[in-house]
Amino acid sequence: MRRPAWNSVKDIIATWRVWGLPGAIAIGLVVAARLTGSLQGLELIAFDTFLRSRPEELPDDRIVLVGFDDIEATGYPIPEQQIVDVIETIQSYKPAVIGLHIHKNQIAEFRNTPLLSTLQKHKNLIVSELITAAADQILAPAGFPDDQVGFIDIYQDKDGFLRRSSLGYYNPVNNDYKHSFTISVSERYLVSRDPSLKLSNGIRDTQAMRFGSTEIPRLLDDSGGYVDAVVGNPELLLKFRNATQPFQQITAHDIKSGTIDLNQLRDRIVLVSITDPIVRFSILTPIGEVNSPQIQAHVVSQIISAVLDERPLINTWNDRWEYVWIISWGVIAIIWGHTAFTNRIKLIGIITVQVVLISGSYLLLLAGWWIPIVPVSLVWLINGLGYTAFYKYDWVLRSRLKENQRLVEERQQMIEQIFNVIHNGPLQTLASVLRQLRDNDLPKEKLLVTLENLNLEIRQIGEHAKQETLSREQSLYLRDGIKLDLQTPIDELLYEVYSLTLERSEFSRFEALKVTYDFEPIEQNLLNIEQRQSLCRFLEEALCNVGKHAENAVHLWVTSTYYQGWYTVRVIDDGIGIQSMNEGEGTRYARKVASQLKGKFKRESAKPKGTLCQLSIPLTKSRWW
Amino acid sequence: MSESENLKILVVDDHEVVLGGTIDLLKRQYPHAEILTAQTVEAVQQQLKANAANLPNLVVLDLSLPEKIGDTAQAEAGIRLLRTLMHDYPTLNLTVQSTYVKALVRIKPEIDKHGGGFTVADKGLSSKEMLVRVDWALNGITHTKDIRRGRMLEIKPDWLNVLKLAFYEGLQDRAIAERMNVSERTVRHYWTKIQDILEVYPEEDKQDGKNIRIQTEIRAREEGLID
Repeated sequence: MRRPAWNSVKDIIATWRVWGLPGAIAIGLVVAARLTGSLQGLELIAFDTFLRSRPEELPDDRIVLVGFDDIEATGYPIPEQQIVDVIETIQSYKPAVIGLHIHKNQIAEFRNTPLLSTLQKHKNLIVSELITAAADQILAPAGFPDDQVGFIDIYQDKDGFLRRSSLGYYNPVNNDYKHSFTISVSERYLVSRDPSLKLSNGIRDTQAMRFGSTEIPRLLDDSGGYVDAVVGNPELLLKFRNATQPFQQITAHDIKSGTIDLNQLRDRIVLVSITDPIVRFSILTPIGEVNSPQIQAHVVSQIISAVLDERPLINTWNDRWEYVWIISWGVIAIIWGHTAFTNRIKLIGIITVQVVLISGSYLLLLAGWWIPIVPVSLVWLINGLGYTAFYKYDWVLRSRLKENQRLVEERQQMIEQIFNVIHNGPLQTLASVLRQLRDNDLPKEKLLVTLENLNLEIRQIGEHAKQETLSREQSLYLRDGIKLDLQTPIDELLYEVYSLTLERSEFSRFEALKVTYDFEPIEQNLLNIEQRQSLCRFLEEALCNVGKHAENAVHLWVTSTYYQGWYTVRVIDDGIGIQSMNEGEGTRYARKVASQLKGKFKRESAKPKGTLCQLSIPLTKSRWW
Repeated sequence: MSESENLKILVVDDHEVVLGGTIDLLKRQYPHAEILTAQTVEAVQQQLKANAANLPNLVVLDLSLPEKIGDTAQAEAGIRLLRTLMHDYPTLNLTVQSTYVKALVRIKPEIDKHGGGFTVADKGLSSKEMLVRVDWALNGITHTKDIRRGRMLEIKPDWLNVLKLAFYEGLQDRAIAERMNVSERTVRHYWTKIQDILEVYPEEDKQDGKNIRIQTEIRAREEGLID
């Protein structure tokens, strides 16, 4: 019992091995393309598009940007005194944190007496440095403790877009760990809100950063659509605040002149920077061009919103799950393409699923998950469409296979036909000669003539076989190479078979017979070639049988009738009747034909004496004839 | 047969000489007859179309004919023509001349169905015999003895019914027609066919002064068609 099941499993596997191969190759190619980074560009474009398409968010009013927007007025580098003045003024309005996004080289020191050190007393002031380019590090002004310093280095992806931000940096030379400006500012702000929100190591990922229960997902080299992010240090995927004016922007001049109400600075994060476009170039980001202080503001906003408002950060799947996801869709596409649905339904299905995939991954991104959409779409569309198209091709293939099978059957039929021709022709002649030889009433000359004829007959059959093979003609060969056109009406055709068979010289019995014959004409299209051929062949056989076996027959009835959808050829003689229980080749042929044409064959004793032999076949209007 | 004033005969033969000979023969027998001629299948069809209103009383046809002028003569073409003629003019009287009349076996069913006279004249027949066949055809008689297979006797079930109704039940043609649900004309047509297979032909019987129906009955019993 187990074996058949196993066999069918093996069959399915064998089928799918062939079937699944192209699809598996397609999946493999997509996976390979993704692994080698060929898809990174596309995936990032999709990511950017999704980010840009997010619904508008409210501005983050916890952050205020203060900018030196006119370096011609202030001078550049900015005189130290001006910076100190601005900070002191801001400080007097009790902000939560002041971030100074101006590094040392942008500040003109006054007579080598670093006035900035006077600001060290402000514990809520974070100063910035540039550290990652080892050759030209610009470290923070001396005297500030580590937790009041943060680096402001930013990097763009290869395509020039900025999508991520570094949060920490481990320097193996000094064996020290530096925090980013954004982390320092965020921590200071968060602790001011809730002292428990101190920066600590992640729980799920110990190398990640965590504020309270909010762990900042650490970007890996291959996170999301990236293959070569080359991180190593904690990085954050930026989820820009999607607002036309996400942060309030004021100028240093506003602070000095007091033209606006500075009370709004209380408890805020105030980031002081140079915003004059002469030194502050815009950077490409998924949401447009932004300058670096704004980027820092976005990062700080992203972190504190995540901690305080539970605004989702961007998580990515483990690489392994990403590939499981991709391959699964590829396999589903193969199965879908291989179903028996119509192509129309398959196409609708493919499009629907594609739409669901896109909108689903968009919604997931809103919820904080960046899942691969480009490779999934690729395998889905390639395999889905490919298999849908290929299924049709497969259908064609299968029909071609059927055609082949038909040809084989036709060949088989031909072999049978040739055998029949031999059986009805030369073999009959031979039988008759043998009988006469046994009876010793065959003169030598006659034997010679008969044998010569036999020789000719057999040769002619060879000719026919060749012709038949060359072009399957719609003809029937009787003895002596007489060819009948099967397209002639059935009554005429049967008459010809009847007439030609009865003329055979070897059946001397026919000469004295009284024959009643009648062949009923029917609509030409009711019978196809095969049916015609079988009816004719049957008639020939039946008449031959009368010639051979119907001893003492005086009457012969040969008729064909059409009655209630059945066409019947009937041959009745009044000879000695059926003598042998053995079935001859002719009878076997008739039975076979009857079963092939779903007809009925009957050979039985007639009343009061003789033999009845008849073949009935059901007629339905055929599509082909 | 008594000479008819408006007798019209179409003679078809592709050989000028044979055509001339046949015409001479017919002219002698029927001096007042209008004789039309045709040498190709095409010409025959044209002639018949031209005389559609007043068809020839008889067509004397050679089997071996060319389709049109210039073609070679083939028995196949003649047989095809014969088929069309019997189909298009079901009561046309026909006499077929040929050196190989056996070729007609193939269209025996059509001949059986044909309502007009149909006689076969081998070209080897004497002029006298030939004229007899023509005369029979003109009289609607069927004579196909020459294309019969050996001593075999072939009969249609309908003809057998006519024999049985006539000789078992003694019915007249009209009553037979009613019983068989056919026209009286068809019954008469059956009789000519029956008489043909039983080789009961008028001339011989007239000479003997015998009744043709009685002669038919005797022959049918001889052949075992009726008990």
